[in-house]
Amino acid sequence: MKTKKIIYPIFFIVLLFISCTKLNETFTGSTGDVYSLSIEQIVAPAYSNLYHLWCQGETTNAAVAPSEGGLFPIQELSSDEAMIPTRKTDWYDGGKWQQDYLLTWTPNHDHIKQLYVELSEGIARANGSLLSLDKLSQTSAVKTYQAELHFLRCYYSYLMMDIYGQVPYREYNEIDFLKDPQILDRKSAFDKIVSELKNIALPGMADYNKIPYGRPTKDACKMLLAKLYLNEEVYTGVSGYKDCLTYLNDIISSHHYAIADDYWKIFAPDNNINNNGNANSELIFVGVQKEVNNPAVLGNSGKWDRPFMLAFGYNHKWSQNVPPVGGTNINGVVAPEDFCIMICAHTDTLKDMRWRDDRFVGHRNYIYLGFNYGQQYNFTSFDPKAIDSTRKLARTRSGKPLIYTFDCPLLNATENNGVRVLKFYPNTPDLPIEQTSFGESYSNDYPIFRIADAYLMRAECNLRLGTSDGAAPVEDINAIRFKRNKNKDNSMNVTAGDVTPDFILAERGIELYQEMHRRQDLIRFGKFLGPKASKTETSPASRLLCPIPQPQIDIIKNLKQNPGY
Amino acid sequence: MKNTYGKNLPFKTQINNVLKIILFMLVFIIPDMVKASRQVDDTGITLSGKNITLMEIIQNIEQQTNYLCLFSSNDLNLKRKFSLEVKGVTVEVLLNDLFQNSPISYKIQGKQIILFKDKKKKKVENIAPLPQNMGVNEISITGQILDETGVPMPGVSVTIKGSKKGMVSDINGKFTIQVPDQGTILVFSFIGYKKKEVIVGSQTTINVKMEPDAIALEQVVAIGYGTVKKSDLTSSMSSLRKEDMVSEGSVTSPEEMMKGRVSGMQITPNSGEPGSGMSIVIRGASAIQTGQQPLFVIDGVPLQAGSPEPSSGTMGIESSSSNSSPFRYINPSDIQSIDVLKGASATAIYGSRGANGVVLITTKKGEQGKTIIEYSSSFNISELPKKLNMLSASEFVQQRRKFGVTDTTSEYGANTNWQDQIFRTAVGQKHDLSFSGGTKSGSYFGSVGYQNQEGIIKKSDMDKYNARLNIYQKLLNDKLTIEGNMAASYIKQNTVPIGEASKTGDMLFYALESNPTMPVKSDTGGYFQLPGIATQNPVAMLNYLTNQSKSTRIIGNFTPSYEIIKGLTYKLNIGIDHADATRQQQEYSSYLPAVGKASALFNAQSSTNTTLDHTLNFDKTINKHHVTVLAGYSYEKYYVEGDGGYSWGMKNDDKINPIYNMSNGIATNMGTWTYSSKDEMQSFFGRVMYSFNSKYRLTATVRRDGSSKFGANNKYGTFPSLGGSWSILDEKFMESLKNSNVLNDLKIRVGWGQTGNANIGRGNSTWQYTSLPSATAILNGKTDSITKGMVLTQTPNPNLKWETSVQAEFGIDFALLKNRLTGSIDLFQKTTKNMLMSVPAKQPSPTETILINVDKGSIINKGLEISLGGYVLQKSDMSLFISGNFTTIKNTVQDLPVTSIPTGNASGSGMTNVAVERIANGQPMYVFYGAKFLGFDAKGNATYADANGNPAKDSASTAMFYLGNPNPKYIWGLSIKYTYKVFHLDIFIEGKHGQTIYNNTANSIDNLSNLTKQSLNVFESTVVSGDNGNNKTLFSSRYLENGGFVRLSDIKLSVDMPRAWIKGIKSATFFIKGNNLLLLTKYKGYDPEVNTNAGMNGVGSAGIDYSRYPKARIYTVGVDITL
Repeated sequence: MKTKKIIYPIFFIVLLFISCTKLNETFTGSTGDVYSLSIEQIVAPAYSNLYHLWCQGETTNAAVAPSEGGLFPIQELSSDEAMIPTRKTDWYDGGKWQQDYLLTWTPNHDHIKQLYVELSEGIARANGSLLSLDKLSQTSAVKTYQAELHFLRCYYSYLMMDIYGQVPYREYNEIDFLKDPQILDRKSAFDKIVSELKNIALPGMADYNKIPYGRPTKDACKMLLAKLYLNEEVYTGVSGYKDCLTYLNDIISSHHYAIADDYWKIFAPDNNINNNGNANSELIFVGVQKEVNNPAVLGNSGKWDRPFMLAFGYNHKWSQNVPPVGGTNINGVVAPEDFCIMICAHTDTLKDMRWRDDRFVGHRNYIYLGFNYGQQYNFTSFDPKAIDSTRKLARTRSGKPLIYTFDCPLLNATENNGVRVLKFYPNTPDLPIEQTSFGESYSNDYPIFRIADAYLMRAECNLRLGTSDGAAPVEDINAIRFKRNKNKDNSMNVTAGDVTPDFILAERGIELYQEMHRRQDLIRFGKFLGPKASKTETSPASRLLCPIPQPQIDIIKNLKQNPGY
Repeated sequence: MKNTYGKNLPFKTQINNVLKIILFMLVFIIPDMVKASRQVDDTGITLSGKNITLMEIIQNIEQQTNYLCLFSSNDLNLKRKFSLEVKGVTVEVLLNDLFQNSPISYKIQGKQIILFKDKKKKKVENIAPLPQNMGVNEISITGQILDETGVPMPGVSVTIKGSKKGMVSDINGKFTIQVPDQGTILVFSFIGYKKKEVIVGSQTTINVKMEPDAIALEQVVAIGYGTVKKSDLTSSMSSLRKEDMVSEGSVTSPEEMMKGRVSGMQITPNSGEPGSGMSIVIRGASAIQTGQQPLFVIDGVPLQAGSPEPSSGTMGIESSSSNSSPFRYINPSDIQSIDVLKGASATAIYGSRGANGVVLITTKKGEQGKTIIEYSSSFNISELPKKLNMLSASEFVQQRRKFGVTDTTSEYGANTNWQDQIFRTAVGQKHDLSFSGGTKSGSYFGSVGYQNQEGIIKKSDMDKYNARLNIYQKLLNDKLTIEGNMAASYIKQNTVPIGEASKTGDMLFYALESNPTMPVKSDTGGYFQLPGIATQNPVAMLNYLTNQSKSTRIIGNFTPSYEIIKGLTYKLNIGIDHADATRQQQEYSSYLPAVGKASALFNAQSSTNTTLDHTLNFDKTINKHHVTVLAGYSYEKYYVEGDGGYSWGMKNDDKINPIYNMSNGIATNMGTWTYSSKDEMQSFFGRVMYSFNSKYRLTATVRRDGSSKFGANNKYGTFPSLGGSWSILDEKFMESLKNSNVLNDLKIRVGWGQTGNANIGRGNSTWQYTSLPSATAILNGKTDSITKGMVLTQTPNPNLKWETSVQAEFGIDFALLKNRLTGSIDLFQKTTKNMLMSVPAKQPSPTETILINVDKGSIINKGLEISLGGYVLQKSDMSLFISGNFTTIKNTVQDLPVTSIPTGNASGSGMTNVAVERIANGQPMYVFYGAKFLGFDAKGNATYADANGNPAKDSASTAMFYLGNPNPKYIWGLSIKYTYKVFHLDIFIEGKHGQTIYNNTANSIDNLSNLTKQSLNVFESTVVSGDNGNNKTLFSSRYLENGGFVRLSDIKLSVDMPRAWIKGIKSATFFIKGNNLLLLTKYKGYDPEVNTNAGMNGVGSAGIDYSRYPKARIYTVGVDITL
């Protein structure tokens, strides 16, 4: 039949379509071929978690809370340095900020969960980068990065051990993520980190000034070892102060770093270049930040975002444009009353530039660097074009004068309650950075390790050991105090008898305020659990560790919850 | 500067061309086809000869055309002889000639020619009547046909089975017909009545009682890769015919047409915006992360699940959270029927995509012998049904004083009702024109449609153009059938900044909470915008923030089939679903937060889903055995690619569109992005349907699906199903019951099946490295260069596979009271296992979560569905038809491997990242979890319950409770159709009950301390709530409300114009219609049907209302004209 002659070939042809497919899929990105990538593209993810940890703002939404994945809620809000009270309906958010302050975390607390993920992601990213680097030819550049990645892995693990007491561990070439990790207790984690730092990281890392600013050098590694030994007694019960001194003396006697002449330049938006084009002499290891207007364009989603906006009153301005018009401050973080009183007793607040510094006051704004209290002022005009230096009273939302008070309850604070601290300050038109507008994030690099901390640590070790290894405690303290004195004289200096453990803790408080050391310091000095402003009860010893997040307990069989949770 | 759009232009042009071609065909070619088809019909008659009997002439007409002649042999002398010589004349010409001198008149109705004695024709036949007995052995049968009530039925067609010979009953229901022998079977048929067959036997008088057809019992329904008579179904499904749905006026998408009308199907609009997406849940929420959306298949082409438009960018500029329906590209007026497969024994033919049910949409086809031109047009106006009561300016000032605010600087003197400023009375219009027709061997349907629908919020609107062409042709002695369907649509939509994802907030929310003393415009002429406050002027937002999408979508398929041997048919289906869309967003420089610099963002996306099916269908009847076997192979490929760009910093004067000046932005603040992905799926499937004696039926299906999304160890999955039915009333022992005419039909169905849900993204089973903003670092010390790291974003899971849903059902179909009442009852249990869930990864892991199939854990939905319908009244000029459906579902989560999964992200001050819902064992999905609110104490402090239900002393002793289930317990719909002569009244009422919903909007605004803030207002009710304004925003039962409602969703009155008035056209119907005229609810927000997307980490949410575009009340007038 004629029709069949036509139909059957057609039928045959369409049957060819059936030839079974292998079911391929493609998607943006890569399935794991690293050969086409630059070394930098491979290692960058491991570094980026440094930014996330310090980030105090959120990535996509403007007027919201500090990052819940960062160190700030756990390392600072749990201490006596900072708290976030509820203000009317603001800042309750299920009670999480207040729980941070009262140490009443639960295994499902958001900050507990987020920080755990952020730290372990840092470890995993370092692992992933190490695994990929293995596939490249082992040039010296690759080898330096490998050592730095071991350092980063140790840094993240150190924080995890410090905060959670247990460290989930995978070898870097372990890639079955459906398998349970090995769980290291505090002691074995300490040993593993120290040994990795000493044996793998330190030998391979670059010397001072041999790699670009922002990457960790041997000095950073020594500083991390010093931090580990400083707290060894807390971690393992064994004193490590002597070992700590060895590394600190190494760093200090190298003279790579010096205590800054101007304390506030350490935290300036241009702290990377403000010392005659060099990085600030204080900085041993930093997280490099870039001011960006739009995170989608320029990355760094771990924005170092708005520490100013977090603290200051809703209607209180740093300058015309900060916060940007249309944005708003969110009136959150305050310095608790008893901390402020302690600092006032500890230092001469008139001379100590760390307490407050008026360099910008009357100069397009009315805000001090450091601690702000009392009546606050604003400009008369918000017009970005008008330069109007006439001040007017800053007001609360209900139109009353905005007066920051020392006292501040944890629940139901008013807009006025609480001393506001500005440390990492925003850019201003007076600074030499070319600036077309005020970005949504700041370019202040944050100091992970700096030399003043090393001096304070050395003073502490020597005091605890009764030695003067490198220098007597009072010498190190005065070395700092001399530079922090507005008059640059000895009038703030102290005597050897003044230098007690409490003195060192207070000195660390004013010097290292909001630099993510306070929780660790308080624990080392045995002051973490006690009563403080708006907290009357002593917390149980179990609070020295944070709980392991419930989701991890749920899925990892050999992971046990810390006692007391 | 390179034009960023250059890349997309050629393709878009191409699609617009397709659209134009279809339009061209509709306007110019189809009318010609109409003419051509009539010629084919009518030129066929060529006759010559002498002394041809009338009978022979009639037989010739029937053979040469596709007309069937119906007549009473009492009226016609079939042996009357004619001598003729005609060539190529029309039926009309021939018939006019034949009967010009006789009292016989004719009428052509569809494909029937009815010949009858016309009393008006006075002239007497001039040839003497011939003897009645005209055949040698022919038997003359006479009889009367009565309807079920015993009234004679005129016009019933009486035909001899196997021949075309037949006639119609006269005015008294009487007939006389000559039959060849006693074995002849007479077939009696009349529209709306059951066909009746009678063997002549020894009878010469046959009196017949016709029975009305059980409503649509014999309708044919689509079941996936085929159709089946509804009575042959073995599984539960719901079919909506044109008359069961609304398509006029403001309806923009097929989901809207189904809402409330299908038992077991819960449809909730995501917003009241025109063209808004709807969340559809069939037989209960059954998936945590893979979504509830059923598979939509239009004329055999599976549609892409997601919306083809790129989502709004959240990168710095405005975005809207409300998504639009991916199915609104289908013109509701083109839809012939929608069949919803619910039971697993039906959905299993779609294997790994069947778990959420399957919606099969069939578009209109031309009908044989009918040439129809239809035009329908409607206009609507819509309005906000209910405003929320905020404090007026004077009340605001008064209450501020009362609250102790003395400062008057934030009292601005105006009296603005911000809701009035953003809402409007919106207008809409819809016009559809269609042509359809067909011959014995082919048919066509073509349509064009235009719809413009404004939203009730200013600046939101949708413009939609549709065109469709469906053709069907039989070739090669009817062995080859070619079917082609092609639809193109273009939609332009403007959305307004609603949703918290936007940078500067939510316009609708601001319209509620803004200080009423603020004026809309300042004295200097521009919008009144206050610096330094979060709340923006909502009117400025409407004007300075734009978000427009333009998209073209083409869905078409070409389906040839060939009957290889009798009963065995091969069918090829090649389908394509292609969409091309862009979204442009702008922020004008005059918008205050823009600080004098404009920004713009665009996203373009092109997606293509290609389908190739081969099926073999075998159909055989041997005695009482009827077997249908289907075997098939299917291949699908989905490809998507997109690109976008961003620019910030343009200065503009508000007359220049920032989107067209992106090259003028600040160089360091421009960016572009691109993406693409592809996945494939290949399947083998089969179905056997067997029925014995039309009494016992068995259906078995199996599908083997392979998808590139699955892990290496689980590329293929098998999905079997089995279903059976038993028409128990046809059994001997039920005969007496059947004859009693109380119960007319009773069918029992059981079904079981296993289906899958594989609605996950690509690249979930393999290694995946991606460049992420959160993986960047500065490694060279220079802050002007950032290294974008490639980060491992996906660790492999070779075991990844579909999620399994096992469903068993038991159903009864019945017809009662002489088939006047029909209905179905279904009981089902659906269990989801191997759930696909992003569980926390075992740290340290490069990702926070990992997508796995959890071994333990299940979601169980048990439910009962009832649908009923029947004529309450049925007379010649009046009828009342009432139908309804009812569903109740119990939903439980069991054995989850994790303690609980938080979701339901609350919004508002003091509620950041607070999860108000959870998925927890022993609880329904998305159960609310929080504190129990007990009221205020004397000082106005909120008190909450402790673990024992007593007022808690402090926050530490405040206990958390499961507070309510956001899933409705009962869902029902009721449709009433009343016809009296030319008047038709259609009423549709729906309701949902038993659900708890969260009024998050109120939780954010109902806050007395707002009065102390510069820019914020409160509800009128806030000032009398007893709250002292100092309470923290703890999530509690305080803002959980009863979401139950009854809605008069549709009421329509239409009038058919009397024929005398409308000469030259077949029919004209005018209608007026109201939507959402009445809403009975206790809910205090705009509308209790809420579905703000408050999901967390890919887990959905339900029953949360936060700043949702309110549903409009719509009045429509329109006309349907058939030519």
